[in-house]
Amino acid sequence: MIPIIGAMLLILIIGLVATIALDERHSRAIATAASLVVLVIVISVLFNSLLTGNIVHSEQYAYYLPSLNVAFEMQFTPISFALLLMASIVSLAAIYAGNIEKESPKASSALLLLFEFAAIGLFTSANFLLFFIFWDIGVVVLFFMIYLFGSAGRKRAAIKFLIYEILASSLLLLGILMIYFYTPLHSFDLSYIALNFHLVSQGVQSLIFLILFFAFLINMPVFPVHLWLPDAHTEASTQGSMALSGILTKFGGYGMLLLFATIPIASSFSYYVAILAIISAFYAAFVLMRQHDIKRVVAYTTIVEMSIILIGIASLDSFGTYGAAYGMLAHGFAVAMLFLAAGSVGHLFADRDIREVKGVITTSLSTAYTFLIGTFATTGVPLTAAFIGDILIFSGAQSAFGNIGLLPLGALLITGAFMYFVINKSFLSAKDSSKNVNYIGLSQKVGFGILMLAIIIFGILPFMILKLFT
Amino acid sequence: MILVPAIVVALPPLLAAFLAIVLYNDPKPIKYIALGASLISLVLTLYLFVYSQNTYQSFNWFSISGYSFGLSTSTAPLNAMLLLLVSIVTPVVFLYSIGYMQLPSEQGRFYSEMCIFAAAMMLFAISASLLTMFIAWELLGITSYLLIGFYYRKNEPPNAARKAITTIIIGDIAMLAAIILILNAYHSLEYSVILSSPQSAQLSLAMALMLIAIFTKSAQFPFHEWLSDAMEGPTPVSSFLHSSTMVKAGVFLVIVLLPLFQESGLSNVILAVGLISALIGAGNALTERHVKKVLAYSTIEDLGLMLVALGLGSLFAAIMLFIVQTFYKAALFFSAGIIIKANDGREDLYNLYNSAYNKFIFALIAISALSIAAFPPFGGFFAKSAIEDSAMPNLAIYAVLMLIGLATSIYIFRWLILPARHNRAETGNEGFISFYVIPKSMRAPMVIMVVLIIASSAVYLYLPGYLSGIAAPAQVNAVDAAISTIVSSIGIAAAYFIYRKNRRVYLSSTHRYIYAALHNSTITNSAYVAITAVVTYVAEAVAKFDYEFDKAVYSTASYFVAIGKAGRSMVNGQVNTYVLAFVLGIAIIAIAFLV
Repeated sequence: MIPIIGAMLLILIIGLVATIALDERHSRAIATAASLVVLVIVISVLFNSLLTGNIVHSEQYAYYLPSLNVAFEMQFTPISFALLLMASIVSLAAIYAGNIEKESPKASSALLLLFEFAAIGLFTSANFLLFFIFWDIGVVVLFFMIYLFGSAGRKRAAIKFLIYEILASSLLLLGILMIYFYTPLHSFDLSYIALNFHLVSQGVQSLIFLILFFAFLINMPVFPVHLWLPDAHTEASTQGSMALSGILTKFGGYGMLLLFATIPIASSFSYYVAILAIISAFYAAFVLMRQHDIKRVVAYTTIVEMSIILIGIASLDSFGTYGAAYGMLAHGFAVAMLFLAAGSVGHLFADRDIREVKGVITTSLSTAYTFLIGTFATTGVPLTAAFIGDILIFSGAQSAFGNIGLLPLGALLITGAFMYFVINKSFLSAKDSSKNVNYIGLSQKVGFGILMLAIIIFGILPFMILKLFT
Repeated sequence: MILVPAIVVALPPLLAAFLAIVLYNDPKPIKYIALGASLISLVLTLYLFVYSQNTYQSFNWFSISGYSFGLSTSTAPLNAMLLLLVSIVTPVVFLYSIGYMQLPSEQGRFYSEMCIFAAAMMLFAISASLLTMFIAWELLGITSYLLIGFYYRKNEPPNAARKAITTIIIGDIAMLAAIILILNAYHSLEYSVILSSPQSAQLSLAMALMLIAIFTKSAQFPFHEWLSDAMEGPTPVSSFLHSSTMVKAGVFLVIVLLPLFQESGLSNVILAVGLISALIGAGNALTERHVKKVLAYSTIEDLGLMLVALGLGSLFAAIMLFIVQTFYKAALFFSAGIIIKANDGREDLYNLYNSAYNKFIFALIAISALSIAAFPPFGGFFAKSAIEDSAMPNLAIYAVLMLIGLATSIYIFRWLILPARHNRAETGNEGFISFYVIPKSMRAPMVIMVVLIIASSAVYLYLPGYLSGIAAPAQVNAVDAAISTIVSSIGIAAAYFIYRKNRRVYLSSTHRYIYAALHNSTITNSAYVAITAVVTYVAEAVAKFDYEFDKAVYSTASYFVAIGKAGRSMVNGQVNTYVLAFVLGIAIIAIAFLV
């Protein structure tokens, strides 16, 4: 058995050290290379598992804390592998293409590599303690991403992000410790907990569920704990936004999937969760309609999409669960595309206000079409990956909650209509007074290409991932 | 013979679209590639039509939890019919585009989008399951959106495109909801499975949602206004997407799934919406001045008539109109393009002149007009008479249909006669010449279409055999044929007397109220604006709440700061305070012990 996961983490650490140690001129290239190697490993694992029909794989390194009986244990599960694949592609795109502002490539590349390390570690953790550790690495790295590289109000936004995320982290730690102490054999191990948690009394289960639910809810984010996201996006750099919406929000989504899969009492809460998700989807869709900053618009689409994913998770139906996982994969690509395009617009015009920016297509064809395809992917057009996610999520939600489960489609309608409004106002329109101040380089176009390819490949060939699920 | 999977017909245009994207910066060969690809598709279609009629195929796309989502295609008579229509129209439109789209800079975008559209339309035609249909359906909507907004440098097209996509996305979401309801109720998306057991608790809701999607796609009341705005797109797009193929996707779905709609009790809805849309279309066409928008409203009317026939249960009449409408509407749009091109891009009917100079072209335009005016012996006559026949039992509907028929012949001859006038302001003979310098690639498609219009009369004879087992043939009876011919002639005569020579008749100034009743597109538009305003108002309120919420959360933080400030005074570094606290603490402990 080849220690694949350990190798990936090691490569990222080596890349990180090399990025920091060597000259600033090489840092982006080194970081890209490390990220690319990881992606190649992930893809080869995917092909191998398609041939053998089996993805499940685990590695154990050492007893990390013998006194607590915790091992440094990593594993692939089908769902976590899908998210891992997404995270490695989005990271590569962010590292290679995201730094449009060309701001201290060394520090930003190093931070992104560390974030990719955290993401891969989180999605492969086999126990809750490792999950928590990687979670916090990710949060802290992104705090620095926002705090160091962003626009004028970045410091305030970064602190706001950190306060919300620290609250989530502390709830998460509390929940994990409670799980540890209430399971019969005191364990952090995910599979052990999933098998034995029904032995815990109902009241304790409910308490633990609520604590962890709020932790993940903050991270996803869903109304009413979404307030950190729009600010963080407006102020963060393009790379920061891509990592934030593309990958960090999936930490919460993945945690939510684990939560609903491990704690049996979750089923009695699922109806309320669905109601919350519906409210959140409509809330975000309406707020989205009154935004002027392109990045803020995209930020609110994240809340809409994550609410839809939440209703899929809450359905506890196999369609809904797998749909949510696939939806997260699709959303990661789509939102990274939208943020990369929005960042390019900001760089091209030194402005992201839809009332001011006009005629992106005449300035940069690739940016305009990337935003367009990102919008298709957001609204779930077939042949983009999001369609597969949507049809599975809503099928699961409809069978679990009845026709109420279809309501979030209304929010998707509002979101889509407004996104097309933005496109016709700023992207596919005549260029009048607004003037471009910059040009975007080849690396951005490559970044657009990587993400576009990903969203279309997983839209046309969904069986590559879905085969692993069953 | 070798069994060819039906899906291959969609591949040549898809490949051409891919090549058009690759050759984006060197677009010279693209138009020929597109034309060649569409001809290959036509050959493949004919092959399928002859050698593999009624073949069903299904590919497993992906499967999950033991359920597999299949992409199935079929060449059953109805599917083959639509496929043949699309495959015939596609190369003709591409030929026309060679002459019409002459700027190299726009060809890459134009042909890539048109080819994707053609592939999607072919896929739609052969789809045998809701999943296959939905993929094609969404691609049709998107390509239509992109092509309407094609001239993005102008002011109007982006707005028209936005209106179209906003309407279409309503339909897409409704269709997705309908598909999910059907998937969960039947555990299958195949047409055959659903049609074989049309009883299910959720079916009525699903079919009602699907009907919304159909009305948005086929531009029916109350979703009809996007179609006239869609005329901002290039003329080949109008003649291809917005008259002969895409807008008929909705009607086609009703044709295929008619038993389900009847089972759900939606026949009357279909009938009512069709009738209202036909009236709205005819009224607006009578008063519209934009040369292409007249035809757009006329398309709304035609589609409405098809739905009327379907609502009355006369599948045969609907299919008959479905076929002949393709040819005469494409021909009319081709003529509109020629007239616009010869008049330097002007589009106002009252500002267009001289179309009668080139007698050959004028004759072709006149034949198309006669066909839509239901004048015998062209195809339109048989189709519209068949629909009127099916309405015979209900005199009210029959009378309305006659009224619509009268309006049709008036507006189409108004549309024909106005641009045929001589421009008095003109001194030289440029106007005369302009109709003779129309490129051959634009004239040839006119000829092909008019030949097809004339040939389409034969459809009336051939169709009953083709549709045996699907639809009962409708006999056009002599009395009705006579009445309808007389009505049509009265309309033509009226149009001639009102609009002949340079008599400028503006209904808007002479009969204000009649004009307002007929030209009701402004009312519809204000209704759309009002709905948008309501949604925006709600959004404004929610956004305000979001802002206040954020502020409230922020101010809670300030309470913590205040507590911290209050607490800070206790650790101010002065020994007296600490001693006081120490003494107080000792005292409290002592009291606690004593009590």
